[in-house]
Parts: sequence; structure tokens; C-alpha cells
Amino acid sequence: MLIELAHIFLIISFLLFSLQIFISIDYANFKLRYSVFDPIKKLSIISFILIVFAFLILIIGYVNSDFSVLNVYNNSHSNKPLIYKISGTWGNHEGSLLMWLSILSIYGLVFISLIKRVSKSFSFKVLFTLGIVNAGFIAFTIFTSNPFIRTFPVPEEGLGLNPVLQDPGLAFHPPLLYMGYVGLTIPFSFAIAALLEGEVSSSWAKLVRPWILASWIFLTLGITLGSWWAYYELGWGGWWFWDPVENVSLLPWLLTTALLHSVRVTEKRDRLKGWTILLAILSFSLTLLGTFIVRSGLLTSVHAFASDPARGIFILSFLVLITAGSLLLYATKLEKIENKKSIYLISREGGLLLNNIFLCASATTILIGTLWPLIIEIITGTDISVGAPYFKIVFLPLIFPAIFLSGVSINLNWKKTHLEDIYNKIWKLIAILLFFITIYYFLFGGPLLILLGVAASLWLFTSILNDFLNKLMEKSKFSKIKFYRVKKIRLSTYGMYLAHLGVGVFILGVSLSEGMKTYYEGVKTVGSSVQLSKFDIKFEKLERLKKENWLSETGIFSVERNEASFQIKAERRIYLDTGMPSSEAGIKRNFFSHLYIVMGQEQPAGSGKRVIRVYHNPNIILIWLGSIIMAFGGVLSLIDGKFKSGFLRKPRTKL
Amino acid sequence: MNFIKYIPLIFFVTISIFFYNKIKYKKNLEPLSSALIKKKFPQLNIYGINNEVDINSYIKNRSVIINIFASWCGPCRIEHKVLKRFSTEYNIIGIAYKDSQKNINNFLDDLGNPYEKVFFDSSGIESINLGLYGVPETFFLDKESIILYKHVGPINEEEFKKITSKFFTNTNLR
Amino acid sequence: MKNKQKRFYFIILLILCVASAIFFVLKALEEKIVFFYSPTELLEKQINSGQLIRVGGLVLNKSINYDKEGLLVNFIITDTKNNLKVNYEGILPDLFREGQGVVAEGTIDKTKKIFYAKSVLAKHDENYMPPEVKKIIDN
Repeated sequence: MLIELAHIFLIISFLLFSLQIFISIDYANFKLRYSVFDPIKKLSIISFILIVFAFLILIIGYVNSDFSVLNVYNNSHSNKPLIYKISGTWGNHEGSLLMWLSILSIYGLVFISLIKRVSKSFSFKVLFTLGIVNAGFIAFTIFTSNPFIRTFPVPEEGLGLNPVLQDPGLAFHPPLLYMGYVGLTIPFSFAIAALLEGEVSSSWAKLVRPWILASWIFLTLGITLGSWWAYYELGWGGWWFWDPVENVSLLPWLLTTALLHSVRVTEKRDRLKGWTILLAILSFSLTLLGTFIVRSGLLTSVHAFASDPARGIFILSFLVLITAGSLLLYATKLEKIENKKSIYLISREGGLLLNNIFLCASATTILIGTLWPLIIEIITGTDISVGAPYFKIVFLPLIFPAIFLSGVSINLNWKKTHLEDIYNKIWKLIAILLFFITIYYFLFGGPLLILLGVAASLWLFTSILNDFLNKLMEKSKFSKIKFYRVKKIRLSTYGMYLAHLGVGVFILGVSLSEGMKTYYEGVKTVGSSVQLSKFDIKFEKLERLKKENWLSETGIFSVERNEASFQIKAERRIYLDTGMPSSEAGIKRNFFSHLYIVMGQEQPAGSGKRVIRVYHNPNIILIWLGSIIMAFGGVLSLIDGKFKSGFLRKPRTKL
Repeated sequence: MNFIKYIPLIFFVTISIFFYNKIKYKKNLEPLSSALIKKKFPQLNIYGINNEVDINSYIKNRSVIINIFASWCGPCRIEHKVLKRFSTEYNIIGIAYKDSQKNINNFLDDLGNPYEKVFFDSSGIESINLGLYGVPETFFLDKESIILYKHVGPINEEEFKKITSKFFTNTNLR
Repeated sequence: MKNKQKRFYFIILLILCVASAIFFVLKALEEKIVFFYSPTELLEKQINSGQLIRVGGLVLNKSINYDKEGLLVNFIITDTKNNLKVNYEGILPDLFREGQGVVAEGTIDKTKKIFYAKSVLAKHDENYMPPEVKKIIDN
């Protein structure tokens, strides 16, 4: 009964949104009818609440293992632990769509609660846009991906979740990621509203920035969690595979990062308006594109849900409608919103403009590489694959200049900066940097790329330190450091420092782990040993056990290096309901490094020889640590914006 | 200079055209799984319990549903109920894949027998000609033994109904 | 520098960057893309013996042979129309077994009709039940 209620809720919210769109337009004059603002607002609130309830009801269905619901039957099992029953709700296509809708609803409700900050005409346009997006997604859910369909007769047991998804990392990776993706709908709606108003002001930028920041933080965390999960669960010692679906999550992140920087320029200097609007539209469009690619079956990957051409066509039409419509609106209104003021290249806004260009260029190359197999297949019919080597070649050359610029821009002022000022500020920076690079090279040597990577991270660290010290010092003299100024520096500036520090830590992690990692693979019998990076690893024994819903084969390894000795267990699981194997790598941490052992199947079968893979990944944790620091920096900026400028207090000029 | 602002739009529309094309022709581009759709069911050297008849002779001129299964296959046990439910309406033939007669007998005694007849491919070699990925798989054949549809993985009631209503119209009577 | 001049140089710089980027990308694509073939297509088409390609199909039953150590294996990939001998040295993925879908990446020695695989990927199959698990379920 409850399920039918949820179904009705969905249908009602769809009808309400459609109604909203219909009555908002004054067809005679082809304008929006502002008189219906209040009813629209109330209808939106109702629809949002109904959607959230529908989602909660589905979760209840999973918790109760109600197999009369087709979706629950297909994706759950009564033996699953409670937390995985709950996360199973969104571990499938239909359920995850409903979660998407619920998150969008919550964002919508938050927006409505803050609606007094903006003028009616503006918020009306935002709600109008949100209504269209919602209507489209709900329609897609109801007509092609309905989670509330019943099945008869009621099966006794569910078909079980893919065991690979029964994992804490993976349970939380979709919600976090979705909070990022879905959140981009708000900046998108703001951008459309601004285009419709024909004006992009710095007040607008101030208002939209917290939303962009929030989405960015969630996207960063979501992607990081996914990468971390892939590392310890897939057993290949890697943390990024340039898988099409990974790429497709990276694209919105890159553009949102550019958007974050661009909107700051619009806020502070009333420039780059066209860029900001375009970035807001594109980052949301890439989110839709990502959804499309994953759910339409166009690309096969670890992530792809079951394929269905009907779904594909629906999302494609929706994607085309929204994106082409917005881009057309952008092109037609661009002249009206852009101002003719120029930008000095040698200034913070100049640096950020270049940053925009670099980030967009990297996003474009990744997009091309991801779609290239598809394009070639249509044109020539050949089947090709574009893998990691391509992405590394095109992505890295773009990142280095961007990092260099980043370090420079942190030290630049808004408006024009005189070259002498720069010289004063930066020569110390360069001196320190060269010093560290020389030391590193003498200590470690190493391939050029790794050296460049370490140099890039050191550059960022010293840039941040340099700007920080300059803010504390009077007349750039070390003797006159005023420590009381630490408190005077805005929280958002610390946020910025921390975020870029995070980037530096991330790059350091990537460079060091890629440069110094070692790997062994082979077949070994119990009792034999492996030597890797001064580790002496002995395959002590193999234990076989039956666990709740899997068969466990655990390899026990004793490891020795220098004075230290410890044990690592690497497990291979075979799940009883599906027969699928999975590996649980044995990972031993030492500061930021990992020794990582995976035990696979017998090769050949029955010989007693086991496939063993051992990875030593020095400093790899810095990769995820860096990302978390980045996100944390974002949080600091968000809090600052919240208490100091436009978020809670009324803006000085109403939009 | 002004056309620059239209570049994102043009780029996007071009990509969309590619996507649309890919989706429309998607079925033709799956090399392994749909290789046999619309083709005749291949000649297989597999026989019933006492080797008395081969499968191709048995199904000649009849529209049947062929289900490849095994006693050691978990999902097969689950879909078994669905097969039993439809066994009175449709002619369901079983092919036991990489299994022994003894185990199959136990399996069918335990869970019931939805099959009009069971054939054995104990080595699994013959089923390769069906492009078998694993078990269970279910093939829907018309009177000329043309494969109308192939379902990979356990089939549930909903899917069974959908497929039969789409492909089997008045062609199947016991 | 006047504004107009500045703008002009900026545009030129931008175009140069974009052009070199595109060139870079296409060059990278050319070298780094890997073509995929079925055994039949491999026999029919002209392929350089040194070029890295991928072949996909099913592992032919009873075709898997290991050397004593276990690290050198040869097997046959089939698309039910044609067979291709594959030679591989290294560890095999968990799901690799006869009758399974598999993709091998490597080079073909056209004269010998042997494919030297550098890596082997097995298709993810939800329905395989290993014998040891079957035993557990039945008990």
C-alpha cells in the first residue's frame, strides 16, 4: 500500500511541475507571468516534499525486504546486513534516479527557504528552470525507470546485490557524488534566470557562489571516495583508470572548479560574466551527459547500469532540450550581459581567466578521448579503445602550466599589479623553490616527470606560504612580521590556501607514488617467498572458511623489512548466491605508504599455485589526503561566505 | 568574431547527433550476444536421456522455449519457479549444461520439472555454438527454429510475459 | 600597447595554443588507440604484425594448456566461426576459464597465426558457479 502511495506521490509531483510550467508562461506576450509566483512557490514545496517521501518509502521497502516490489526483488536479498539493504536502494538504476530527485528536492527546499534574499522576478525564473529540470527527471523515472512496479507472484527471495557493491565506500560514494552533481542544478538555474533577466551582477555572483562551492565540495569528496574504493576493492593497486565513467565524473569537476574561480572574478571585478554563465551551463550539461552515458548502455564499464535503448533516447532528448536550449539562450543574450571592460593580464583576474582556459582545455581533451571510440565507431564502424596512455599525454601538459599560474595568481592582486610588486613578492618564492628542488634531486634523482610533479607541489606550497607571510609582514621585511594579523585574514582566504595546499599535496602524492612504486606478480605456492623493495614476503599458509554468504580463501603472509615484521592477510571471496569472486586486498600502512597484497585464483587450477600480486605504493595516501584537504578548504570558504557576506544577510542591492 | 559564442552549441549538437546514431543502431553493434538473433538454431550434437533423439529433430517445426540450466547454478534455482509457472502454457525444453544425469534428476525431483524434455551437454562444448556466456540463458524459437530472442541470466515473470507477448502470437499451443 | 593591439595578439596566441593542442591530441590519439577485432575479422583484415590490437571471443573448451611453471599458457579464442591460437605469459584474471568471454591485448604474428597477448581480460559473468560453491549450496 505504501508503495502505491509513493507511486502516486511521484505522479502528483510530475503533474504539479508540469502545471507550474504551463501556467508560468503568458503565451500572448511570450513572457513569464509573475503574478503566479506565490502559488508556484507553494506547489514546488509540495512537490519536493512528496518526492522525498517517495524515496523514503522505497528505502523502507528495501529494509523490509519487500520482494513484491520488482526493484527490491532484483536488487536485494534478505541476508544482507541492514546498512547494505539501505544502500541497495540506490545501488541500481531506478533507485538511484529517485535518490537524484530527492536530493534535488532538498536543494530546492533549501533555496525556497532562502528566497527572501532575492527579488521575486529572479526567484521566479529560478523556480521555473528548476521546474523544467524536475519535470524531465520525474517523467523519465515514471515512464522508463519506475521503481514502484510490483511483481506477482511474490518471490521468496531477492536476486541479491552485486557483492562488489556491499561495501561501505561504495555505499556512500553515490550519495556524495549526487549531492555534487545535483547541486549544480542550482547554479544552472541561477545562470538561466540571469540570462532571462538580461543581467549578471556581482550581487548575483555573491549569491550563487555558496551553491557552487557546496556542489564542488561534494563532487570532490564523492570522486575521492570512488577512487579510494576502486583502489582497495578492485585489487589492481591503481586509484584512477581513465574509465569512461570516471572521466565523465571528472569533467563536471573540472568545469565546476573553473566556475568557482570565474564567479569570484565576477563578484569582485564584475568581469568574466559570459564565462561564468557559460561554465554554469556547461558543468550542469556535462552532469546530464554523464547520467546519459552511464544509463544508456553506450559505454561498458564497471559502473554501467543495465542498458536499454529506450532510456537512452529519453535522456538524450532531455539532454538536448536543456543543453541546446541553454546554449542558444546564452548565445543570444551574451551581448546584453557582458560588459566591455577589459582585463589586465597581469592581475589576479588575468590569472583566473587563463586558469579558466586551461581547465576547459583539459576538460575538452578528456571529453574528446572519452567519446572518440563512439565517434570512430559511427564513422568507420571499427571498434577501438582509448586508454590511459592517451589521457596521460594530453592531460599532464595542461596541468603543469595551470599549477604554475595558480602559484603566481595567489600572489597577485585584483586589478593591475605592477611588475615591480611581483618581482618583490616572487623572487623569494623562486629562490626557496630552487633550493628545495636541488635538494630533492640530490636525494632521490628520478625521472623528469616525477621531478616536475614534486616541483609543482613545492611551487604551490611556497606560493601559499609566500602570500601568507606577505600579508603578515610590513613592507616585505621579515623583521616586521605582525602575528596579530593572522586573525585578521579572512576565513575564505584560509579556505583558498587550504584548497590549493590540498592540490599540492595531491600532486605530491601522485608524483611520489608513481615515481617510486614497485610491483610484483606471479604464481606462488604456500611456503615460497617474494622480494620487493627490501620487503621479504613469505606466503605462510592458506585458510579456507565458510562465512555468512561467501566462501573465504585467505592467504596469510608474513612480511619483514629492516627491523619491522608484520602479517598481511589477503582474501579471495566467492559469493554463494552468484558464484562471483572478489578480492579483498591485504593492505599495510606505514605513514603515507602502502604495502598491498592480492591473492587470486589458482593457476593452473588444482596445482596449489596461487596468483599473487604485490604492490608497494609509497606516499599514495597523500593523493586522497590532498583531496580531502581541498574539500576542507572549500568548507572554510563556505562558512565564511555564510556568516560574513551575502548568504544569510540581505545583499545591499536586490537583484 | 561573433560566431565564437555559438561554438559550444554547435559542438554539442554535433555530439548529440553521434549519440543518436549510436543508440539507434546499438543492437547491431553487440558482437557476441546478439550474433544469433534472427538466425536458425544451430545443429547441436546433444541428446535426451537415453540418447534416443537429438535436439534439432525434436524441436523441428515447433515453436519452443529452450532453457540452458545446471543443478550447480544458483540463479537457475531461482528462475525455476518462473519456468514452472509457464510450463503449462508453453513448450519449454531444457539443456543441462556441464552436468550429470544424476544431479539433474535430483534437481528436478527437488524443485519440480517444467521441461517437456531435457537434453544433455555434459562437456559444454556444444553450447558454445549458441554463444553461451554462462547459465541460465533462455532462447525463444519460432516454428522454423529461428531464434527470436535470447535472454541472458535468470528470467523473471515480468520479462517472460513481455517476451512471449511480443514474439509469440498464436504460434504456441500444446 | 593599445587595447586593440593587445587583443589581437591575445587572439593570435589563443589560436596558436588551440591549434597545437588539437595537433597534440590527434597525434596522441593516433598512436594510442587500440583496435578491437574478432578472430574472424583478424583473419580477414590487413594488420601490421607489430601493432598492438585487441581480440575478443570465447575461450574454446579443452584448449587451455599451461607449462609446468603455470605462467606460460596457450589457449584458443573462438567466435564460433573461426579460431585463434593465443600465447600468453603472465597471470590470468580471476574469471578466466573455458567457455568464458575474454579479451586479449597484444600483437598478431600473421605468418604463424598466433596471437601474442600482453594482457588478458575476462568478461564479468554473473552466472558462473564454481564447483566448490555448488558443494556448499547443496549441503
